[in-house]
Amino acid sequence: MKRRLARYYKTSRNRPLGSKLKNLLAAALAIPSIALSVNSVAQETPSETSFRLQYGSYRDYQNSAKRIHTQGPQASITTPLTESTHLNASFFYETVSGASPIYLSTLSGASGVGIEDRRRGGNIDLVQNFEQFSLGFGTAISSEDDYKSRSFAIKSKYWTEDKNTIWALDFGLGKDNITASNNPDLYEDRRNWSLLTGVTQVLNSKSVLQLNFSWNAGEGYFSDPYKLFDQRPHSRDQYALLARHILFLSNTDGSWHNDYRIYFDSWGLNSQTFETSLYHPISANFSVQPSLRYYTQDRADFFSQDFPPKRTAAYVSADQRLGQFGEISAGLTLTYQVSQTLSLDLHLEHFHQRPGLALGGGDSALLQPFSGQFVIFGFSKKLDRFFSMSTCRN
Amino acid sequence: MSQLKLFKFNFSALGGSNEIQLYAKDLQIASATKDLLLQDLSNLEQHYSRYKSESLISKINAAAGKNERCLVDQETAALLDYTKVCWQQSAGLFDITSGVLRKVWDFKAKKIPSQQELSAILPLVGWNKIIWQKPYCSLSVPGMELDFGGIAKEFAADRLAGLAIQNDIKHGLINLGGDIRIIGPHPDASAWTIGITHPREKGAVIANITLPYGGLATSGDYERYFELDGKRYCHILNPKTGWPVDSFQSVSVVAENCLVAGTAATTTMLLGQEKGMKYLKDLKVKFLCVNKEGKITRS
Repeated sequence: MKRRLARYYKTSRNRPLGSKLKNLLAAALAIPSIALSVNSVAQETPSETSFRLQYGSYRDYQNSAKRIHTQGPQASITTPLTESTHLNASFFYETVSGASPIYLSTLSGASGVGIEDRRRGGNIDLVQNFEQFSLGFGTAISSEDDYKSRSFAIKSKYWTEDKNTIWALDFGLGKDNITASNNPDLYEDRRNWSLLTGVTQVLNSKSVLQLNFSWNAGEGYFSDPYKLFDQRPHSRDQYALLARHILFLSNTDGSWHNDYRIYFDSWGLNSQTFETSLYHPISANFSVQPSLRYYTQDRADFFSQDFPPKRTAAYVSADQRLGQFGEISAGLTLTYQVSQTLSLDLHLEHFHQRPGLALGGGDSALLQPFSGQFVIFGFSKKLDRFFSMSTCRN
Repeated sequence: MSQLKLFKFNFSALGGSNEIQLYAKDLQIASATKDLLLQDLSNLEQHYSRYKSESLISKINAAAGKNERCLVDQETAALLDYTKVCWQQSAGLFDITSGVLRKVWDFKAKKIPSQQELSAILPLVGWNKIIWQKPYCSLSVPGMELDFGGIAKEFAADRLAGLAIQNDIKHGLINLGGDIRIIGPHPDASAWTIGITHPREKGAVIANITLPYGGLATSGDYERYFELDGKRYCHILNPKTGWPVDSFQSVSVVAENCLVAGTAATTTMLLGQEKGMKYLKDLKVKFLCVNKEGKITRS
């Protein structure tokens, strides 16, 4: 689907514990009596209500001609309900305007006819925490003029007593409905099932490694109703493997994140993503987070730019997003901690996509270079639900 | 699921008044748990008190300056490591060897020591003078003393809370002389409301804190002190100068456990108002401070 601002949605990030307190707590927990007094359930359930509001804007260009512009607000909240349950919820609303990439679309000619769309959606998760595991139930919906999606997930986490190993196992079910504004007779759907399993392991006092494997099976309508000659298979099996490493930098109290993701599916499309980002506190209140990502994608089996397509082809699509290309993106997040409970952040990102950037080089001469940027401004506020201080006299 | 009832037990120990509050099915269970906790507290005093000649601490102190080293148990070893981290993080101000300074300060007689008396005793103070080679501990200078008095109540509160949890008590709190560790919130998941003592008005409360979990400890200049010529001399002594600190009226800190809360509160008092406030903000803990003028600052 069209690029979503939702991809850059961040749940209100808890400010990481300073290293001084971390060291002090670690030394205290090394004392057997103190370790025996730890309340695991209390640690897992947040004691504060965290609320986040952000407003983002996304624009892309093709050969410096403006294409899609998406903008809108997003709100999220995490709050404890009892001493062992908590709720996560989020909502977004965005308006989309512009034209999809030039070529081979019934809606766009040489210059591209404009589109206007509104998207809205949200999700709610309820999590119950126990001594050594947690169970969550979540549901999400999103809708726009020609596409509606509903999903449900069960998420579980298990951890060892020392919390050095955390296992995750999630199951999901979803159903999407596809219509088309240029074809009132079109009413299709697709269903998907997903499974995610992963482990997060503390390697030593300075680093953490996370490995995730996910599988998604979909059945139903996958074609793009706005594109001529777009006929995609009725099923799609997707697999992804993610490895993520976090290194804590004690001299700055920051951290360095490195991600590698490999993806392949039953359409023959495969991709790899390399991402590195540095969380760097500059002062007690200010931090910067530069990031760099390289993405390379190999085309789907039935991707073809022949116009008109070969008659013998069972499936065909000239959708740029199924083609071969590479993308480089650079981002920067600036965070300002106004007080212990309020922080402001600004995220800027620019990406550049072209066939030639793909590993092994791309050959699709018709795919124009494509670039875009994100600007997201947000604020996060914490309300200590339990802890409150009322002074009797000042 | 039968209804849990709240039971309160008051008792004297560790040189002050204390309280155990716990929710249990009946008085028999509550009482049995209380007895278990008090027995453990007694064991703790036997092991760590410098007033008991048979305690491990007294043995280590008696061997100071001699070529004898004492074997310490795992818990004491971990405690020594912890006090080292506190000493390092406070730039040497939080020091468990500073107890000997009480020998030259007489709070009852309101006597200020002479500079000679202080100069004679200061060489006996310093964590770096402890020879700590796990699991063996010895004190390098004759007359040196280890004194866990500064962390005893906080550590004991956590330890008793842990014991209660191991014995299936899920709701309650331990209050040892104002140092508190919560076992768990009320059975309806509501938090405990705890009052912080007013540092100047006896019997009054300066603020209330609501907490469902964790530890709360307060350090102040009003617990043990004397006033002479309009100046207050409190029991928190700077281990480098030997003099009482000139600092906040009181500092209260909330942390995951009472031990960390207590050492953070004491360290803040030792650092003084300016450096202490910076230390608390750096540590990112929840706190409430009452400065010399009586003004309240909270996190």
